[in-house]
Parts: sequence; C-alpha cells; structure tokens
Amino acid sequence: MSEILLQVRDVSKDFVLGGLPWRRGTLAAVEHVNFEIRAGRTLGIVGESGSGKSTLCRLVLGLIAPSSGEIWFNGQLLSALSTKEMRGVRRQMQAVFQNASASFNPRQTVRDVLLTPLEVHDVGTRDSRFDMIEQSLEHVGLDLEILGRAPHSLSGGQRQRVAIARAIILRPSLVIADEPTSALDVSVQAKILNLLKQIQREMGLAYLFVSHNLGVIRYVCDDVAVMYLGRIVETGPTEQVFASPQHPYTQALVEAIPHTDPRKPQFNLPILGELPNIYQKPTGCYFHGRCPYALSACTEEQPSLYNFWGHRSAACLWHDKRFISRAPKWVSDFEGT
Amino acid sequence: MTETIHVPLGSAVREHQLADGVPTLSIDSLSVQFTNRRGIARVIDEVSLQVWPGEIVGLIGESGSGKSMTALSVLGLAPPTASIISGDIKLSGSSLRAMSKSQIRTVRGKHMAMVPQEPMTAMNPIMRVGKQVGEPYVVHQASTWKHAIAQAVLMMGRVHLPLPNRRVHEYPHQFSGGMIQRSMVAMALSLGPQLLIADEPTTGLDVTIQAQVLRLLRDIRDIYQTALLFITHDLGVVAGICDWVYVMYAGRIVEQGSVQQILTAPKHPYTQALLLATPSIISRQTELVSIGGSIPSFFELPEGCRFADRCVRRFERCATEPDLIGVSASHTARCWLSV
Repeated sequence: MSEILLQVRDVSKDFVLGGLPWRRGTLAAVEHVNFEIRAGRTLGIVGESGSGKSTLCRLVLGLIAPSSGEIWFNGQLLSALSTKEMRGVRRQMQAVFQNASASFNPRQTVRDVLLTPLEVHDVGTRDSRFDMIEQSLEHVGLDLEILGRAPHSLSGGQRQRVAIARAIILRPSLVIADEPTSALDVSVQAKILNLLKQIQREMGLAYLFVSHNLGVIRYVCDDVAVMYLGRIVETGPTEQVFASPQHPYTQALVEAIPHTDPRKPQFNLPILGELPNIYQKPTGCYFHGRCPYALSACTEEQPSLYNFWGHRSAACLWHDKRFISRAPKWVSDFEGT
Repeated sequence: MTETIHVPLGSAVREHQLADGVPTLSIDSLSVQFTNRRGIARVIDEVSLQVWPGEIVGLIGESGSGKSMTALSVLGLAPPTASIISGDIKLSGSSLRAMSKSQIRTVRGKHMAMVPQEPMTAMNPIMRVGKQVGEPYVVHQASTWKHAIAQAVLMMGRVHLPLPNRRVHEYPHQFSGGMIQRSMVAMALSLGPQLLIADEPTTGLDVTIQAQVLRLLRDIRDIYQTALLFITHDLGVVAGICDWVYVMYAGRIVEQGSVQQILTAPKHPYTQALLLATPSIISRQTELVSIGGSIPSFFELPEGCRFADRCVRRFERCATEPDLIGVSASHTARCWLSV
C-alpha cells in the first residue's frame, strides 16, 4: 500500500453565528471526522446539502482552521505551520470547484489564469513557464490557441478543463475536487470525469472528490465516506458500500439515485420527511427522525462508528453488540467492534 | 430487405390513439425562430409531440437543445423576440395559436400549469406562501382571499407539506427547497389543470428530496389523471417516472418511443451516447463513453443530420437529414441506421 498522504483526525468545525452577543449560537458544521487518503487514491465524500462536505474541503485546504482535531498532510500538521510553510503545502494541494467561472478573475485571459500559480509559487523561468502551461493544457486536451481568450467566452466544459489545468500545473500530490461536474451536461461530465481519471493515472495524484451524485462517486472513487449533518455515517471501499450499505441513510441514498433501467421501480424509498434543521440538530442519532429502522435508543444515544471487516465502518446502533442479535436483515454479520 | 415504414412526424401509435381519443397536449410541427444580427436561429424545428391524459411524457436533451423553449411556447410565455413561424399547439383539441393573449391567460393556470426549474426564484420572496398558492383562485375564480387561503391549506396538505395551516402564513425563505417545490406543485394543481408542465423540477434538490417530489408527481398523475410533460436532462429521472419519451437535439426531435424502447433499445446514436455517458450506480463502468464535439450553433446548422459531426456511426447517407423513421409501430428515430 502506498503511503498516507492526508490524514484527518477527529476534526470538528463550529461556526459562531452572528447576532447580539448574548444570542449568539454555534453551528457544528463538521463533527469528529476521521479519514485518510493514500497517495494516488481517490476518496469520495457524498452527502446532501448542509452535510458539511464543502466545509471539510475548506478545512483540508487550510482555508479555515478546525475548531478541534488535527489535519496531517505529508507528515506535517497543518495547524502548526507558518504562513510561509503553508504556502509550500498548498503547492502540493490544489482545488477544482463546481462553478469554474466564479473561480476565475474575469479580467484575466486563460494565459494569466495558468501563469498565476507559477508566479505565486515562484516556479520556473519565463521560458520554462510557457512549457509548463503548454504541458498542462495538453494534459487536459485543450489547444494552445485558447490562451488568449477570456474564461467567460469558453464553454462550461472548456472552463472546467482550464480549472483542472490550473490545478495540475504545479504537479500537486492531492487535488480537492468539490462537485467538479455537477453544473455540466452528462456528455460533458463524462469527458471531465474520464479526464480526471486519466490525469490520475499519468501523474499519480490523489483526489478528495466531493459529490452528491453516487453514480459519479462510484465511477471515480476507490473509497467513499457518506456524510450526514456534519458526521461521517459510513465509510468503506466504494463497491462494497454500494453493494451492501450498512447505514439506513446510505441505503436511502442508493435507493434515491435515479438509475436508467425503466424495468426497476424507483423513488419508493422509505426515507421520511425533510432534512432536519442544521441549527437544531436532533438528539441521539441525527438520522433517527427519518429512519425506518430507528430503535428507541436512537433518540438518545449518538452512535459512534462501528468498525467491521477491517476496512468498513457505519455509525448505526444496529451494529452495536446489544442490538445485533435482533438486527434487520441488511445488517451484515461482523466480528466485534 | 425489409420495407421502410415511414410514419408521419411524431405520430407513433399509442394505445390511447387506438381508442380514438383526443390528446391533452398536441404540438404539430411547431417551428420557432429568433432573428438577430447573426442571422436566423430556428431553435424549434418541426417539433411534434403529444401528451395524453394520465400520461407522463419526458422531453429530454442537453442544454441548448430547445426543450425549455418548447415548454415556454406551449404556455405562451416565449420571449417576445421569438416568433412561431409554423405549426400549431392544441390543448384538448383547441388551438392555442388561434387564441388572443387574454384568452391564453385564462387557459394558463386553469387548464395548464407549470412547475418551474428553480422554485426559490419563482416565488415572490416578500409574499406569504399561502397567498401565492391561493392566488389562482382569486385571479381565475374571483373567490375571496379568505376562501383562497383555505383552499391553499387544503392543496398544501395534498402535496404532503407538514402543518399546512401554519405554513401558509410563512414566507418562502422559511421553506426548504423541497417544500418550496411542493408548494409550487400545489399552486400548479390548484385549479385542477389537464396539463402540467414540469421544467427540470428537481434540479438543485437533494436526491432524497428529489425522490419525494418525483413520487408526488407520479401520485398526482395516478389520482387526477393529469397529463404531464416532464422536461429533464437526467435519464435516470426519465426511467423512474415517464411513460413516453421524446429526445431532442439541436431543435429537432431525434427519437421517440416508450420509456422501455428508448432506454433499453435506443436506436438513435445520440440517445445511445447519452445513456453511455450517464454514470450508473447499478454497475461500475470502466470507462464512460463521452460524446465528441459539441452541439452545433443554431446559426450554423449542418446541412444533413445535425448529429453527424459528433456521431461515431456516420456514413455517406448522413449528408441528407432523415425523417423520423419507424423502428416499430410505436418507436421512431431520426437516423438512417434505424431503417
């Protein structure tokens, strides 16, 4: 197995909400999250809006500091780094966002967009910079003639390619992709996803890939972490998690994703009601109000992640020793916790 | 060699037609174009489609294919710069093109209604939700506001909004996306329309909420026998909700048939490519097949088949554009290969 590139240890992030000082509350956007990414691998993070996916991306990128917990990248603890050292880390860690046009300066041409990271990190000479730009454009399948154009004059797919070219120009070891294809048509999406996989093969980089589309996650990711209201509720190798989801929320997600087979019934999932208010999270398991399998204990007890089969985990009380003997059929047998 | 069955545009035989009924919505070779300095853009070109009572019909295609424009033309809401140059739109047999603006206004809302794409921007943010949902009763039936709000409570209950009698007094920002979209459905259904047009009604909603809204639309069809024209780019949604499917590309219908035919045995290379490009959760694909090139500009449409430039299976014949060719009695495709 390759070395561990990114390790997130028990990370939480609370946001202090505005208002008068005595009325201020906090919003726990991310709670006690643990995961790791090995070099050259892809971890998918899936969840609905408000589940903390994007906050997690910003934490990993070092754009915001965690309220508690540690983020280790390449053996360095991010919170212990100086601004200057952090800049060195950022060179290794780049991002691609959903809305590519919003991540460009509208007054820059594509040439400026690609030149900026090289200037910021003081990489190369004038000539070698041009070579690097040429190479990264080649990687993403764009012509050199695009260099003089403004990002807004490009199509959605081309813009996302420029964003990817910008992310890989510094040869990072980790790229954080936050919903990189959700604004694109399926045919364009397919091209971008294939491109991301091809770049990974060529450059050996790792992805932290955030999406709400399980089909996309399944296509790109080796491992997946499912988030619900700021907590990871299930993790494991993508194929296994989809084949036998061990948390009722994951099951509901898998059920809810539209598939293209008209012979199989759809949208008959048992998941009830709305996503709870993230400012007033439920007690106990956050999912109990919508869960068709909720136990009475679920209303009081926050389940921790139960590990099984060595590499899978689910935060569902049905996996607890006390309940496993009368658990529903979908709960797979496993040894201990 | 078998003889080619040439079926007139968009008139595949469905069971309803055999029963000699009238479709709720019938679009007959409609063409709509915009004119500007760059020339003429015919964004809808000879489009024919029907929606029968109790049927959910999907209109699918990528952005820029003309599907939303088709919906707006039906509702009489196309921008003033768009001109309908030929064809007709009939609602239960009566022509909408022959109607005056004020006549269409009485039909819209009463006999046909729309569920828009972005519910959050479709609601008036400074008006209470109940007043907006109840407004059709005041506008179309001259009822009192008191009665209208009472009706709104009833309708909002019907779309499974929790605590409707409290919710009617709230503002749109107090609702979640799924709740707003259900309120829009309640508003659209308020006067019992024969036709409901839903333009990407679940784009931007979370998947579990999307599933709830789609199930609601399906239930509405089952209970009220409403005809539903469902516009989407998501083939998965089509598979789960539609009975009949029209595939649109660059202003043209390129394939049509039952949902089974279109999704399990597509004949047009564009439909086939769309299916191969969609990531699946049923099975893991080793490689998504993408479609090369991009949709042609309406100002520079190719001479022959509009998909030919991007098609992996093109041959000499594609230099002339085929009609919709019958694959079977109920399935047609605009491709020479379907002969």
